[in-house]
Amino acid sequence: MREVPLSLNSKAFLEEVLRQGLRPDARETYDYRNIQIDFGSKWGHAEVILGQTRVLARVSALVEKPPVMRPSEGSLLFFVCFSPMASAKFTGNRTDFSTVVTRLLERTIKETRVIDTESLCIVSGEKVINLRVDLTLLDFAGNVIDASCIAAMAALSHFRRPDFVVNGEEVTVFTEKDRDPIPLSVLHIPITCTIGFAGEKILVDPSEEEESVMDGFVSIATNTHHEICYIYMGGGVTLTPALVSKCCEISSLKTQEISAQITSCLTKDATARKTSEAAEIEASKPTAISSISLQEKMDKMLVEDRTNVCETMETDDQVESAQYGSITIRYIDETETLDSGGVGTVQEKETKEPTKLATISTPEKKESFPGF
Amino acid sequence: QVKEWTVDAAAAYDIISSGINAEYGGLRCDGRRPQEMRKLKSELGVSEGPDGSAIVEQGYTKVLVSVFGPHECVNRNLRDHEKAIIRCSYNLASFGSGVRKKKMVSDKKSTEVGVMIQNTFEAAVMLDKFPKSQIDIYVQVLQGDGGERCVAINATTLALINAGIPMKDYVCACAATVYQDSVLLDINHLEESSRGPLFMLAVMPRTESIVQLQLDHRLHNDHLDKVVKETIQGCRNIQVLLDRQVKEWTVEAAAAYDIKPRV
Repeated sequence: MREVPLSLNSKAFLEEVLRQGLRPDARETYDYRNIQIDFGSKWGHAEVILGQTRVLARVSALVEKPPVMRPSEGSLLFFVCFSPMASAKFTGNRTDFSTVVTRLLERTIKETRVIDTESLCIVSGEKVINLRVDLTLLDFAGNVIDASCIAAMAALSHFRRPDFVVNGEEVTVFTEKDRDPIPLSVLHIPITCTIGFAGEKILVDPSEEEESVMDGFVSIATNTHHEICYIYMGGGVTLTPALVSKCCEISSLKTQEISAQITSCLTKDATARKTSEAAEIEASKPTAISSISLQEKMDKMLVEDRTNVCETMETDDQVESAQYGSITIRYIDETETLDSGGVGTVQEKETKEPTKLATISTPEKKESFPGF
Repeated sequence: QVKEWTVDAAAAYDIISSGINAEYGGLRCDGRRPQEMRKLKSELGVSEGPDGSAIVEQGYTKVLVSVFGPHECVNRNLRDHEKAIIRCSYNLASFGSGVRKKKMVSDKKSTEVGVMIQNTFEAAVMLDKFPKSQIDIYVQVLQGDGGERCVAINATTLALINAGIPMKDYVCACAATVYQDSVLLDINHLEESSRGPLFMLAVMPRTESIVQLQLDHRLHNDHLDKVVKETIQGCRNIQVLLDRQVKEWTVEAAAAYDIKPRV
């Protein structure tokens, strides 16, 4: 869908506001919008809300064969998706801007060696751990670059990779149940700071309205060691060397604050997990009746609301009653075929027990279907 | 063959450090002084078809740029009623680097550099003179030996001049790195592979306004001012050479009409 252009009235109003030295949402010149960082139940799941811009980051690891040219290093790949739910102007196809954001993250995080990739090597030349960071923009309200960078860094700092042991020729990669996964070795935390320019005025962390009237922007990534990691200039704006130094200083200050926020959110998440683990151990002690099969657990995780799990890790019983209050979804039993009843019809039933799970009919059963 | 080209970062760093320190009398690996630029050769009006074209060679890096425009903007969604738009496409030829490039389809890096060049010239070209039009820039890197983005910007400047598109000033670009407190200008491929900070700057030299700024890998805040200052000096050096080339070409072109321009 084509982007709706800004009306002349709105544009004139915004320009007048900026000319008077104010900002449309009444922020000070160097103020960032409120940043909220949430972590999910899985390691490497981070959601960042910057003002109203929302980005979701997920990190996952795969054990694969490395390329010939770099046999003893793991790799880190970024995939950025501008989901159409974020704004009417995104069609879900890969645009130039989404490529720019992907490359920006690669250059800020991968090429400045944030993760020690040599520690991801299991057997040189044979098996390495390849990390993949998927970022999805869920809501667009300006300044996607900063939100994406914070989300990616938070997710990478939160992620735990599987532990492995090499005994001569034998390699054992442990699952989460057997051995606790290990955090990645994050060497430094670069955070980008986007500064927009509208005439003479500087707009730190431009919102959507400010982005529509600004002439251009610069994104500077710095880390807590006062090193500049990446600079990107976008749009038709010219800078002076003095302005460049000033922007780098602003970026350094903001990086200190945001890095501190990331570390405090990580420690909060760690303590929340510990208390919930203790609670789970308590709950599972008395009886074995509440033991739910693995597939039912998986199914629950698909259905339940993510934010609920973020904030308080409830025991399985509580989650169950919250979800299965009065409406249940009828699942296909393994013995039924697709003809009877229909797929997953929703019925209003008063049941407290979870019914059998949906299973996709196995290939052998497809013989009963004509035409396949 | 593969081993020669893709240099290990540590090995490249060794080569640079041994070169500058003492053994070769304070010179770099290709015999240049720290702030010495590579030899620049340029030519305007190389192609018949495009409205403007230029080839610029800095050392072993050779880039060909063709410019079409300003012409009517074909894509209605992108049309701007107040000014022209610039579309840039950057491509590294498959024979252009040490290892033959397999993918011919546009990949992320090429798209990114294309967007970067587009952003650079949006600030320099007088776009308000051509509303609802489009200027196409096609960049082809024929030989890449470090600093391809800078040479591309320099060549685009010449191509736009060749096409007669009005600009506010020359746009000159230069890349630099920092090694042990000294700034090395106009780095080649070997110096790029060393994973030291890679700083690229595009300036309009007369007003010293920075049109494009890119930094890769890590640079300490303390070095920033010095690097910016030295790189702007490097860009000024390039502007002198480009200006000389433009004037030579103007005299030649005018001679065809029996005009002797005052340069």
